[in-house]
Amino acid sequence: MRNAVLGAAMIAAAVGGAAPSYGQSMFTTADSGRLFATGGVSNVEGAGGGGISTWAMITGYGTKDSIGGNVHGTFIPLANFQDFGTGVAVGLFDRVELSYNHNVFNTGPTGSKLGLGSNYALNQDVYGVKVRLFGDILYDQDTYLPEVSVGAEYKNSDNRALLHALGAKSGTGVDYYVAASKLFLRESVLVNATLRETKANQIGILGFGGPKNNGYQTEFEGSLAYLVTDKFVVGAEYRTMPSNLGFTKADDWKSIYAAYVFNKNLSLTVAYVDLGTIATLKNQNGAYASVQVGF
Amino acid sequence: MMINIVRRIAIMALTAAALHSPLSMADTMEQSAFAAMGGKDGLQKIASLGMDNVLNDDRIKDKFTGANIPRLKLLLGTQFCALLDGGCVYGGKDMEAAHKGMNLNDADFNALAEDFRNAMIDLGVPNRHQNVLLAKLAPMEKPITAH
Repeated sequence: MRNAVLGAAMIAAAVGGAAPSYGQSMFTTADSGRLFATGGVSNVEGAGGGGISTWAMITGYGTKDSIGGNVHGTFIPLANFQDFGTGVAVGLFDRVELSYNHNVFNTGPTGSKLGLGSNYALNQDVYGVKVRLFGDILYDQDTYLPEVSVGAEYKNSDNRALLHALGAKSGTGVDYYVAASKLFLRESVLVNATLRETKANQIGILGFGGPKNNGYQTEFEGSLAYLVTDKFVVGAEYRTMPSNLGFTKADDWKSIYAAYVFNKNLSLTVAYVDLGTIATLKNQNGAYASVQVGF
Repeated sequence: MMINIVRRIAIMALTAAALHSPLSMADTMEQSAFAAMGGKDGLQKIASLGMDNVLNDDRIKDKFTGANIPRLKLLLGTQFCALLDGGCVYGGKDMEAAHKGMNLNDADFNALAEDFRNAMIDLGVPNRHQNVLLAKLAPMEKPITAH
């Protein structure tokens, strides 16, 4: 609850900073100087990326001389569950990204079948930090060198008693990742590859570790996107998942998405996601809709 | 034996020449973009309209106070043509020297790029061709923002 309040306060602060004209913004160095569609959108953990994958780019439209930031709301109605994510992220001088995301994973009518009660919800907070090591997604068009960042995400899920009953070893966990992104602007193609060290079950919503495995495993996130216009991007993503729990398996996540950047303050991402089996329920396919407001 | 070797070398040489000849090969992305933008005249229009956008852009118009705009437009058009292998030779200063003292930062550079992209959009250049030219301009961020 405290986390949710903190998150709401951060969102309010960010909106307050974004709403006035740039010159009067609380972030006096905000200039929205970066080009359209070079920052990605907010992913399911609140980091700059696609829908389900994490990218190397620092979120927002800030340059190396300025600050960018955004808030987002994401709705993912699946066959048996629905996830509602809200979060805030700031990009500092195109070097550091700080993010917070709150996921409410609602079991809907399925909750009763699982013995949890109808509309039983699992809550998760994700605090993320990402640091760009080298490379520039846009300017480095005369080299094959990608933009590379490293990041960590501290994830905290409530409903500890339930998570332990499901076999998870912990309700908190830290993911570490290294992400490489390359824009082949001449070809209008964006490629991303991320390696993540994680114990998270379904990104942590079902806790961390389990009877099958309680150590870190290396997972892969990949995405491929095509820049249809300067404002419209279509792509596909793939993300592997550890399968630590005993009572259910976990499948790799897949998505195909389209993102439309109305302007530097508003973007909309829609996707079709296939998250496989979640908590014994197969074929968790569904939609994904995310609105991002920022600068 | 000798004739065989000579024949082989001749075939290899012809193949190499064919691979490098613009006539015998599919157009490069630069050549396609050059054609799609209307050749030299089209690029001159893009340079001219892009520069007009810059001069109407509150973010950066002040950086061009006192500049010889007609000359700048001509130079830019020639530079774009050279970048797209259109048979032009850019005779202006190198990018670092040309922007020295303007104190341009990344936001300024991106604003310039946006203004020229908007010119291409307004002139109906398809996105994939726009990006070929933008990919040539993007690495100029370093020299242009050096001072």
